[in-house]
Amino acid sequence: MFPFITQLIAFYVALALVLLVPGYFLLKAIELKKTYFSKLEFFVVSFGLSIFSVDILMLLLGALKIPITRWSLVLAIAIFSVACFGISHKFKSTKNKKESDADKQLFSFGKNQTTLILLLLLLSVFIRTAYLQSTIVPSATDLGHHMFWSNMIVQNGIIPNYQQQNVITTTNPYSISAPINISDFIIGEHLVFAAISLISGISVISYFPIVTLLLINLMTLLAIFIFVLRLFENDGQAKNIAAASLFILGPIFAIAPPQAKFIGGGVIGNIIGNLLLPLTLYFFLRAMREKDKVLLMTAIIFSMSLFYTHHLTGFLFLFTIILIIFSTLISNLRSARLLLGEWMRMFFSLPVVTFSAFAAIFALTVYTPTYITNKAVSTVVGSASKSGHGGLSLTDFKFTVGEPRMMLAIVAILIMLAIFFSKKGLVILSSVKQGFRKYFSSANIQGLSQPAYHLIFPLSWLAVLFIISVYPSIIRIDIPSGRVGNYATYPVAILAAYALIKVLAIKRADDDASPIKYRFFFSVFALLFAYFVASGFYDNGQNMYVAATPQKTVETFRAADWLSGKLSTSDILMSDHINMTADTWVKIFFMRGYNFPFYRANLDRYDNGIDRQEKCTLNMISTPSTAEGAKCFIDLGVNFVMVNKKTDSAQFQKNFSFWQVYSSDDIEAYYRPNSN
Amino acid sequence: MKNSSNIIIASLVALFVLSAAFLAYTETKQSNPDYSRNLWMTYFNDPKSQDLSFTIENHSASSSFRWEVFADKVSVAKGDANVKLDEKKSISLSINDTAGKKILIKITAENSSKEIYKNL
Repeated sequence: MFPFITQLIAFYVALALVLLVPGYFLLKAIELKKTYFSKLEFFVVSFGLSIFSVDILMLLLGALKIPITRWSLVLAIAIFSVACFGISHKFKSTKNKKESDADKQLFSFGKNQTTLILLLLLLSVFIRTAYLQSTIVPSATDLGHHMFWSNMIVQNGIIPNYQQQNVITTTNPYSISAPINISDFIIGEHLVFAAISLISGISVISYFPIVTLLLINLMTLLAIFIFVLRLFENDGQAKNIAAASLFILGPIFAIAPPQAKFIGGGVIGNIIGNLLLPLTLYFFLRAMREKDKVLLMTAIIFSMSLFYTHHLTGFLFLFTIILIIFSTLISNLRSARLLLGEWMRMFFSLPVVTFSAFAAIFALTVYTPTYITNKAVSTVVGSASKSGHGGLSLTDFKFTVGEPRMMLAIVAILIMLAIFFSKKGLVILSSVKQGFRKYFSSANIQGLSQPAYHLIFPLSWLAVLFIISVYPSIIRIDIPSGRVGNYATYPVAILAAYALIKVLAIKRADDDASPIKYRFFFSVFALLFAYFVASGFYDNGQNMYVAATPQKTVETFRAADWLSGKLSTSDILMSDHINMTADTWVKIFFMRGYNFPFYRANLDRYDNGIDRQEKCTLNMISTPSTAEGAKCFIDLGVNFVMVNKKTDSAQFQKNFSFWQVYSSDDIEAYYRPNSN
Repeated sequence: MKNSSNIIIASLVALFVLSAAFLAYTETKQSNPDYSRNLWMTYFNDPKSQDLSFTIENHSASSSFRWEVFADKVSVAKGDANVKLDEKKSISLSINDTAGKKILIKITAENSSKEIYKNL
């Protein structure tokens, strides 16, 4: 028990050092002239900035050829934090208040509100934990791939080259290619995990990657919470809308993608992207609204962090911010020139230009993301090239974001559009306009001097995700539609929260309505709300089930561990992705390459004409006794095979060339002597 | 409430610490091969040579194992092995006249059996 406790404490210390300390001090340095943030905002933003800081520090260590070890990393974080502290201490304005105005107003919650928020957080953590206990023994495919690269940093102390060796069957004899670049991974997905592993000393094959992802997901809930509070800060219902968004994202629909399922599945890019994207939008919102160059600089810091972490999220962010800017200008044509002038002044200010120059120099000289160096951006432009890239149906989209959430989001869109057109005087029927204003008077329709960012931001965010996931052909985008659809969960939840609170608020505006009318309305709404909550928890129940396979995972790991001690550098191993549990983790026991062992992929990968250009990896497992299978073994020098005992042992047992050298309940290993 | 931000932050940190401890404990427990009490495996000590020595690694509740060696389906040696939970036992074999034969070792526990073999 003692080693477990010391390891756990080391993990907590590593988490604090990697995901709190550097961002905290960086933010202190950013807050030189003005207190921008409430304590809650400071906490959430520090977390996001820590991801950025640690990424930058590790990439700098790599570029300077300084080995990335526990102590070099701790030293780098310490120097960075002390430097930031020094800057904040020396240059901090004396006028700077200790407590922000936001702490006193927007972020000061009543007793009941605080209790509700704590209850929602408790339920959010509890439901996620209940689900993750079934998946905590690491076995997820994506997580295995990612942890290979994190472990590469841990073992070698350098920034990895994303390369793999493939089987080539266009030559005779068949051969194994030289290492070729791959663009599937972005460095920001792996640095944080490598840092935690290095500092804590915990193996990547453990609980820590999933628990770290859980933390990031929980911080995403708070990121959405602070974003919503700022978004609707001029609305009397801001706190209630924020609490409702926490309710809609926290306890209900807590497991379906992109939440606990993505945590357990190790979908690292999406999980981190879903934290960084709302934080980026949060800073752009505040920068545009408060016309503040420091906030714009921080927005650009988060944008850079996005592009170093997940290109898909970065790509979606780019479209979103373009639409936000466009919508703001279109909806404020009369003051468009003024707005552009303000934005230009902010953009060409010292902090923004300095950081932009730093980002450009960093990208050119320190580390360029692989999707740029490999020219992979062109692969996502054009018509859909793979199945699943052609767009979701409206029904699929509805189920992806959750049916009742979608329903409420549509209500919110109608309310927002009505507010917008009402403000612009475009509602033709004055009675509709008057009735509408009566019911939604608390919406605080802003004057022309301030664009309606509280409408523009969520609507633009959702519009981009909706178009790319449902109609990707409109803008000729070739990316997985389902994945993009999952991103819509967040803006849909914000809109649903808005609708929920706005409809509930009608009660107040409708005091003079007849009791019967009000009772009828409230009954209908109560029924809808009950359906909403029941659907959310039903969705949790449907997704809660996991075929518990920790023993199968352990068997795979034991066999891999045994094989890693028996194989020499000239031996080559084949395994199987279709029937073996946790097969992608096997490579971490060898650390001989991303594609070692070679593996039989899902069958559709051989048929779609894109993913797999060879069939050796299929034939060596499915039909090892055929002439083609034997040729693959001989030409490629594959002499060890690891397969599921129940599904794939028969073909090897019938073949006299193979020795069965390892056997457990689920896994068998075969050796093929004289294979060279 | 004046300190509501602090309360929210402290509560989330506390909840996360508890959740992480629970998940870490669960993972440590479940990833222990002894956890299910029904796992055992067998393997050749040297999979690449003609040596037939093998090991029984036990993570199951039963500790009595019986092994038998067949050369082309003819029993040529047998024995018992007592392997306690979380222990390994290596068994050395010296069998003559194996050339051209399939040497199969069958290991039987209380409720299950496993085989390994070499075609010499």
